[in-house]
Amino acid sequence: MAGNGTDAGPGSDSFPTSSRAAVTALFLAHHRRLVGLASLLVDDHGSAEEIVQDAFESLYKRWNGLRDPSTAVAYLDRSIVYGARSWVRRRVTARSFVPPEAGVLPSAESAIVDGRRKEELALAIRELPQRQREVVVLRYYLDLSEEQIATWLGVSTGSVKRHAFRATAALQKRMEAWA
Amino acid sequence: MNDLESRLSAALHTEADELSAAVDLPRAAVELESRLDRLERDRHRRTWVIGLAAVVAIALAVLVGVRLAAPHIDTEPVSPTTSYTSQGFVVPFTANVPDWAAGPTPPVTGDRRIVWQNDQCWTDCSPGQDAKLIVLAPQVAFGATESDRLVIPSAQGYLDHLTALQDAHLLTLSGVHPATFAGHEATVLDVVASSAVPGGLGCAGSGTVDTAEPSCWSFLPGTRVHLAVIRADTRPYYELGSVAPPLLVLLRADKGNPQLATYVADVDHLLATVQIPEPPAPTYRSNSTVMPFTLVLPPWATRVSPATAPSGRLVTWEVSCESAVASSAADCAHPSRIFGAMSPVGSGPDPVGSLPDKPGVTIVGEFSSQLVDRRSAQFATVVATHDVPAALGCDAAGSCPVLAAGTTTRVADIAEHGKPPLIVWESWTTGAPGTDGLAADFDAAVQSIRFGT
Repeated sequence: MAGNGTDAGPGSDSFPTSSRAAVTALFLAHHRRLVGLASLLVDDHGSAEEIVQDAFESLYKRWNGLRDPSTAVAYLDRSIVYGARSWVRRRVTARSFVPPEAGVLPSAESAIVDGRRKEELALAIRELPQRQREVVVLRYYLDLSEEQIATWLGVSTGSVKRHAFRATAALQKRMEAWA
Repeated sequence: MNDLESRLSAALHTEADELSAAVDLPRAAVELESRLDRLERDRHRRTWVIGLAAVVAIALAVLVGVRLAAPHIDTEPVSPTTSYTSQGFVVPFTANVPDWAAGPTPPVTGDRRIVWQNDQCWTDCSPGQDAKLIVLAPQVAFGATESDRLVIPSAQGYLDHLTALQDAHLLTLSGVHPATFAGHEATVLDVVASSAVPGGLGCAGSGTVDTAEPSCWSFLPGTRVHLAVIRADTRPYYELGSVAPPLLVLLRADKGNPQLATYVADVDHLLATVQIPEPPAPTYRSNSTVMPFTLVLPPWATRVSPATAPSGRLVTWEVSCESAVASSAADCAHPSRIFGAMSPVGSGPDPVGSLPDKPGVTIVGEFSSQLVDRRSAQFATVVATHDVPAALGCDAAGSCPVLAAGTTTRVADIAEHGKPPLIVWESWTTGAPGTDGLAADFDAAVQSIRFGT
């Protein structure tokens, strides 16, 4: 693959050489983490990878519009969240819980009890309503503040608090049931 | 971070790591390269087309002698539109809605809000492309904090609210100018937020905590709001005694949206085409041949269409909180109410006088007698603790209004010897806020009755 943009093909003069190199560098550094983020928000691995590809493509298109290239990672994170939401909207009429692909999670037999609990908790998060699931992932995976989540999702802080409260209450209940 | 939050964080990181462990990075990188190559080819092609078009345009301009310094046209062309008629909105209106919003996905509607969205955004909205077209009859708006809640009293009060947010360095207002839409005075302005003001635009409901869309609308950084504050009467049925809050028509779009100027022009076009019909006359004329009459309705009932029973002996005006105000009974903080007039069948003995004998009915205060259009009328106020069927008689066999449990009813029995009586009543949720003046409004409505006209 082209890491420095010198073989970018016709039209590479319309993009700064550095933009392609920068996007590629970001891809190598963050692709795996972003697939993880997308996988937490959608129910199938293939779609998660597609969402990540779309995010990098979008970043490349808008690279010249970025006022500060250091915001690119945040842009990618946000694109993943929006992309995942679009994916869910497209599937909303047929949505049902789909377990992760075999081989992606460790087998139950090999998991120790603590690991199984963690796995069960992750499954419970997947079963939350989509907006609650987004809030939980943004809050506890990306460590965003409630204000940041509100801005990202285009809702009020109060709404974020409400979704977070409902989600944690539901998860707490599930954990108590396992105890 | 408490124990649950720590576990959540750990579980999410573990799962994300495990899910991404299966990623084939080299294959993914090749796919990205392929996508970027395609993008560059498209960009290259567009550059050539634009360049060619520019050359042709310049050549044409020279040919027809058009000066390049000709006056600048600062009005964006508007998008194609579709005529829209509101359904169940508190201020009925028609307007031409731009096609980018009008279809094919229908708007989110309610009695105090209608929301269209850039149609692409219903399914796949890229960052920076969000655009919403909103018609809102807000009841409250929030200031710098959620505890700073303003019950919107008037258009000027709403504009003062925006000014206060600007003074607090949260908003920047620009382009403020007066206008007239559908015969109503209005103020048009643009708003840019420097930080989020949840619920700052206004809320369709009157809740104190929930500022979530689509009921509540916020100012968000990175967006521009093009807003018309119209002095139309948007008072809900339960607050008709107050000053009329305004009607808002607005665009909220990402500042970076390349279509922003067109969208703003589209909103201006929508405003220019909006039509708001005159409210219905407050005088009701009965079609009944049994007992024709006219009356001036209580103010709230002028907002409601009457329902006439098949018998022709019963007409009611009814608002239920759940259908008119909120989406669920749990959110229903305002009283349901019904106003009715009935000429009962049969020779029921004095329905009002017999009310104290009915189980579940408590008389409040004293009976009183008045003259209504030179006929004798007996008035009473009762509270029902249980459902009381046929308490006021029946308009047909098996069709008898019920005094519902938990309601207060003011009733008048208007009678004249040799003529069928007319029972008029109004019921509302006992003790609900905003019901203090209902009995007086009811008495005034009854006193306005004129028979035989």
